[in-house]
Amino acid sequence: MTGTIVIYFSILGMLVGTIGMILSKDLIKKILSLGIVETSINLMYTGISARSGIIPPIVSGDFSSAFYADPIPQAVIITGIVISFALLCLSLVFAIIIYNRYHTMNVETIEMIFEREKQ
Amino acid sequence: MKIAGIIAVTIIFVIVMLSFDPSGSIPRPIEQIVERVNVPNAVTSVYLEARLYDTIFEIIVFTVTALGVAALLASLPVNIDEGQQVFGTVTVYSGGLAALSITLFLYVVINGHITPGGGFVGGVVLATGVITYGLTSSFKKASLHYDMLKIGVFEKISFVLIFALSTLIILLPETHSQLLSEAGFGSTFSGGFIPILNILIGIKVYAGAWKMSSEFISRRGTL
Amino acid sequence: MNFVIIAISSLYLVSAIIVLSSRTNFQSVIWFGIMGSVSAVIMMIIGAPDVAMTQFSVGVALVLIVYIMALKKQRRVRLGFLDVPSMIEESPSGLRGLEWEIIRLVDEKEGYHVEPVKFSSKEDALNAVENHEVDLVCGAFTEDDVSGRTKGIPYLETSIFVCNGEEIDFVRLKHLSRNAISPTPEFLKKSRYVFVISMNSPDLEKDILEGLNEIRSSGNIEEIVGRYL
Repeated sequence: MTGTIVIYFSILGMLVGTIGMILSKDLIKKILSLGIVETSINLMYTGISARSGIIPPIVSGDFSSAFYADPIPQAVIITGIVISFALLCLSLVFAIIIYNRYHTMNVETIEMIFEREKQ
Repeated sequence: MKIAGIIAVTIIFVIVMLSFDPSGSIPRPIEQIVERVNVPNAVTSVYLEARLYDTIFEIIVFTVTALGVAALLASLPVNIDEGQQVFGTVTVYSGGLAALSITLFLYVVINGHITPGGGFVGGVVLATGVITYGLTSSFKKASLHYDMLKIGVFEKISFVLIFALSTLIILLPETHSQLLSEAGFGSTFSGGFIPILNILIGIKVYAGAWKMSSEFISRRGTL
Repeated sequence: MNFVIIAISSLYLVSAIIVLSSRTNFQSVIWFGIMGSVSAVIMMIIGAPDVAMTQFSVGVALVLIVYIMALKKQRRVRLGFLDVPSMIEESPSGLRGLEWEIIRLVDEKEGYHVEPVKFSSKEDALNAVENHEVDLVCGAFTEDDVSGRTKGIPYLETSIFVCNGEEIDFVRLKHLSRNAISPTPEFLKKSRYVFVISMNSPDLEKDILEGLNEIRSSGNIEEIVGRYL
């Protein structure tokens, strides 16, 4: 029951993040919305792991009579969090390079400068 | 155009939410995992023995991204620091907190198979501690340790050793069980290859996170 | 137990919505950190302590540091200048002059990093501005030099004289008359001194206009002009 509630809320969080990526006009806000989507995905995986129970999967002694959480999605998402931090650093480096060259963070202005430079 | 995109995204997410069936069969694999590796922490034994391939490729992605960030930021000029703004009360205990984070790193990484923790958590905790010390006390002193302790050499050695050990474990699946029958269940020396792999992964993740953050701080200036 | 999870999850959703609707970038980053902390608390209650520790260290601490480093307004301003005494000139202790004072006041407020580039004639400097090689040019340029070519931000009133068939402005005339060449100037028209700025940097122009307004309204400009002229 608790796992299902967390899964529903995390899907709503993904919806908020995706709408933010479409509607925002600032480059930094777009990267922040991508971070919202990734945090919601991490939450969804722990929600899937909580369907088998909410006791942490650290066993001690006799363990056949309690409902432990599922350890496989948790192991998969720990590496995912570190990778998402590395990719965030890379995209921020690109944002800094674009700002140094075009002196603005507005997406529509950058597109206009691209059109002008092509001619 | 944007409104059409928003409506389409909302419809797709609502369909996903409604088609989720919460009464499927619930898996309980924890008995098989713990019987196979004989280690209390099931999560560490999953990502270091049952799914070792994912860990290897994650380390490759992390290394390539750290190299990419360092190479792309090399074209910006280094910020010449006139003086770092420090607050006296925070500077007093920031050195002690950095030392505490080193102790915490060693505990979390070596006991990764008994308590919650592991290689990834330990590396990031140590990186947070050292960077906070660098931002509050003096960044020059914090960035000297990278050359003095030769962490670059250790990072490359650990990269090669991770590959060698994981090839050994995948090719000979009896290595774990032969080493594990030495000590009892739940003591520090009962992990087999798992603490060694955890230490190497911790060093690698710490070096990568430190390189990325210190390039940012040295090119853009401290706060 | 279910009620607690519903309450904290709705807190997570509310902070996710506030991240998108903040006015400045700085506030969005702070609310992003709060959202990451709330998600780590949910993971701890659900029964995943490894994931909660990782999310706390990475998703809150390191991400906040990296974002604030990227958001700081640090950019290079390439400043081209002509050597005009008492306006902007080189001396053994660095640059000094009236225009250098004004530019330094604006830059210190915003945190820019100024790189000076020296030019030898007005034509070279104006060509460099049009090709976007430098961002800002100063050195006693008047409005007639830049009209029709590029943009200029006026900051001081002056007059233009005709002397030996050439048009020169007030500061150069004073420098000539100090060097014992005594011409007979004729007054031609009034004009203004400008900072020449390239078309590519709208944010630099906005910052210089704001800085000039602040200097004018606080009355400092007469003091600075009186010190150098």
